Formats: sequence, structure tokens, C-alpha cells
Amino acid sequence: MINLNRIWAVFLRYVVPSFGNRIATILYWLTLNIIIWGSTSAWIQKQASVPNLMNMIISGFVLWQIVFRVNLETAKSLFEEITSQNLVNIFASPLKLSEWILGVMSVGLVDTFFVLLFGTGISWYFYDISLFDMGINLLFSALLLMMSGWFIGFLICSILILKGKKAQDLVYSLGYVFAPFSCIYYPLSSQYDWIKAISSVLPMTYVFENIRYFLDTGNYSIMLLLKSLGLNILYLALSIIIFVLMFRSSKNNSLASV
Amino acid sequence: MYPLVIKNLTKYFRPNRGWFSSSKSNAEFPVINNISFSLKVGEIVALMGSNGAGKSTLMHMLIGILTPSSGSINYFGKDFSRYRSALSQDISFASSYFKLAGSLTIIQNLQFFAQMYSMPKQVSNKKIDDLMLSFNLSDHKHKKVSDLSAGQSNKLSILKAFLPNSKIVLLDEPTAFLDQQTVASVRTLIKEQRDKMGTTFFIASHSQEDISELGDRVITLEQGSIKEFRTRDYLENKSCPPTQKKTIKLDLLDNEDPVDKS
Repeated sequence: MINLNRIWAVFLRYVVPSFGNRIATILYWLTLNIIIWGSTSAWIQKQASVPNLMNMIISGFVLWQIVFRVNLETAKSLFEEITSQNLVNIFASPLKLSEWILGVMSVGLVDTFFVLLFGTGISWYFYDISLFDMGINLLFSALLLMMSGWFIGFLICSILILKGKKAQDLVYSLGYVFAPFSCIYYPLSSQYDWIKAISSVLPMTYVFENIRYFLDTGNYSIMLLLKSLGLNILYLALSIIIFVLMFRSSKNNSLASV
Repeated sequence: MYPLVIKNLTKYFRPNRGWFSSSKSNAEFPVINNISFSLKVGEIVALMGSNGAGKSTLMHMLIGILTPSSGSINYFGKDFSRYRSALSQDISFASSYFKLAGSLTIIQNLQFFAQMYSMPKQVSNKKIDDLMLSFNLSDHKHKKVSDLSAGQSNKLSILKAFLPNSKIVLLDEPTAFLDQQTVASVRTLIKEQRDKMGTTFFIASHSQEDISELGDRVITLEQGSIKEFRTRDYLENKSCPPTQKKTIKLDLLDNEDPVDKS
């Protein structure tokens, strides 16, 4: 039986102490990158007159930040317990692993909300681009990318729980591995075959394909969204199963040694 | 019913070969070797042994962060491996080796653990205030754990173990890094809780003073096996000068079959 109070406590444990820092970090990176990408795409758009280029680049960047922030914060939650030697205290309490997982996942909602809020505000303020024009499509895209962030985050957690601090570099770097293959700024059809093969099995690809489709036609593609949803459910389930198995495996050598 | 019954508990470790190790050895070595014992309600049992004897390994299995290779751990007649979360409601743990979350303040850490044990907020706030007062931590309650000294950090860990009114408290080196005044407070707290609430304590310690002052019974581990299982009377007598020694029967409570009595 899942205890909602304990899930809420886990949520507060990761959100409250770092709340100011979390907001500042999201705001800082979004502002800097939106200005860099916005200015670059404005210049290219003038030179090559590619329609909607700036819109595609900025939407892509803001939405990719959801994947990146959610996976980073998921992995950091576990990493913080390992570095502060609190992992044993937490899992020697009545807290279930499933409750910890749900608590950490709920933190992703906060990151998604603030990335969307600041991302839309900054792009509207500097470049008069309103991501809210995407309507419900924006919400679907954000939720699907949050799921992608979770599955990447739990994959990193699986390695962390086995290898401990030795795997710390992965916390900040593994999320980037998925970026070149997620077709954030370019269509799937324009890629080399080997990249296409990888990209076509990633749920993020179909979200960004759908955004480009929307910017071109004004409609969104249910098929692309469903493909992304199916792959996200599959990978999220697999990543959580792998994490649970790795957690059990880690208990064979004691969580104290992580 | 016995609060804790351990039967034929064994733990083997396989050497960690690492990702890039060239070693092909899969040989396992025993750290805990076929241990059986039980704890009675309201008794304080001390666990002794030299470094590497297996004390921490045993503790880690008792709190559920290490999976035994074989044997069983039963709390209140229920299998710990099956009902860990539910049984942990009545078990608390403190160790001088593990700190609490460094990014949280003392009060945030304690409130978090109060929620883990499903304590009502009013009850937990009152208990937190009382415990912090008795441990002289009230002035530091908004300090982050990462800013605490080793002694303060250990105090907090012990305070966390006393926060829920657990039926069993497991303590690993509870008086390490503590000043004499705090050591005395910890010992008083242990005795008070045992006397008032019938709490059972299982304490791993290197401190002879802890053991002689607190332990009703003492288990001595050597190379993963129980070497001795003695009563406090025996130990007190052993440490007396030869002229004052009483003639007492050695009460060797070795491996009684606890399951049959539970």
C-alpha cells in the first residue's frame, strides 16, 4: 500500500531546500541560451529566409530543457543522498522504494512548470514568440518530454545506485547523449541513415517532429504524439524496472557501500 | 512474542571486481556465519567485537539495507524480508557512520523522518522540541546538517532514532564523537525509554562503558560467528578484582531455539 504522506514528504524534501537555487538556475540558462539561439536564428533567417526558423529553434530549445532539467533533477535526487551519506537513513525508514520513485517523479512536474513558464516569458519578451500559440499541443509536448526526462533520469539512477560516487559524471552528462538523436532542431528526414535509425526509436524525436508539423501547418499530429507516448511508456517502465533491479542488486553489497 | 528473532543468518560477500578488473575470482567469503539469537521485550542487548568481526554487517541486515545470503530475520513474528516497510514503523536506527541530508536543516531532517514514520504533526513537533532541548540542539535547529560538527551530527542521528516511539531501537556506535555530558544523556535516554515504554535496544559498540552500563546481555562476535553470549552479571564479575569476585554461574545463552518460543 502506497503512503501518500511519505510521497509528499519526499517531494518536499527535494523541492523546498533548493527551491530558490532551482528557479535561479532554470532562469539563468534559459535566458542566456534563448538570447544566443534567438539572435543566431534571427540572423540565419534573414540570410536564408527559412520560414519559422526562429520559432522552431526557440521552441525546440525551451522544450528540450524539460527533458534535460527533469533527468538532471531525478538523478541529482539520488546523488545527493549518496554524497551526504543519507541513503541508509532513508531506506532504513518505512519509506518504500516505490514511494521514493513517485516522490522524485513528482519533482519533475515542478521543473516542467518553471521551464515552460520562464521559457515562454523570455521568448515572448525578447523575440515576440509566444509558445502558448501551440495551445494544447504545448501541454502534450511538455508532458511527453517530462516522461522522457524521467526515463533518462532513472537510467542514470540505475548506474548511480550500483557504482555510487564513481558514476557522478554521468549525472550531468548522460542526458546530453540523447540530444543529437532527438531531432530537436532538424527534421528526422534530413538525417543520415544511422542517426535516423537511433532517432526513430526515441520518443523525443516525435514530439519535436510534431512541433515542426504544427509550425508548418497549424495542426498537430495525433499519430506523432501517440508514437511518442507509446515509446515513453515502454522506456519509463523499463528504466524503473532496471532501477529496481539495480537497487536490489546494490542491497546484496549493502546500500552503505554505495 | 519476541520482538526480534534471527535464525541461521549468513552473509557471504563476493569480492568487488569492478568494471575493468582482470580478476576472474568469484569466490565468496562469509562475513556473518550462521548466527541465531533473539531479543526479549524491554531488554538492552549489546553487540561487541573487534573491527571486521561483522557487527556493522549484522546491523545493516537488521535494518534492511543489506540482503542476507541465507537465514531469516523476524520482527514480532513476521518475516522482515516480506514486510520491511510495515515492520520498520516499529524499528528505528541510528549510526555514527551515516549523516542525515546535508542540504536540509536539523528541523527539516527531523520533520522529514517524522513523516516517514507517519507521526501526527503536533506530536512530532512537541517531541522534536523536547529532544532538541535535552541534546542542546535547540539553538542550532535551523543550521544545515552540512555545517554541523561530527558530534552534533551524531547527536542528530540519535535524536532521529528516538523521534518515533519505536518498539526496537538499533544503535551502531551511538556514543562515538560525543562529549561525556552527551554520552551520559544518551545512556539516560536509553534507560528511560526502556523503563517507561519497554523499548528493546540492540547496540553495537566498542565502548566498554556503554556495554557495562547498558547491556543486559552481551553478544560477542568474532569472524562473523557468535563467540560469547553473556549476561551482564557475568561481565561485571569478570571485571572485578579477584578478591571481590562472586561465584556466579555463567549464563551462556547460546543459540536457544527462539522460533519455538515465539
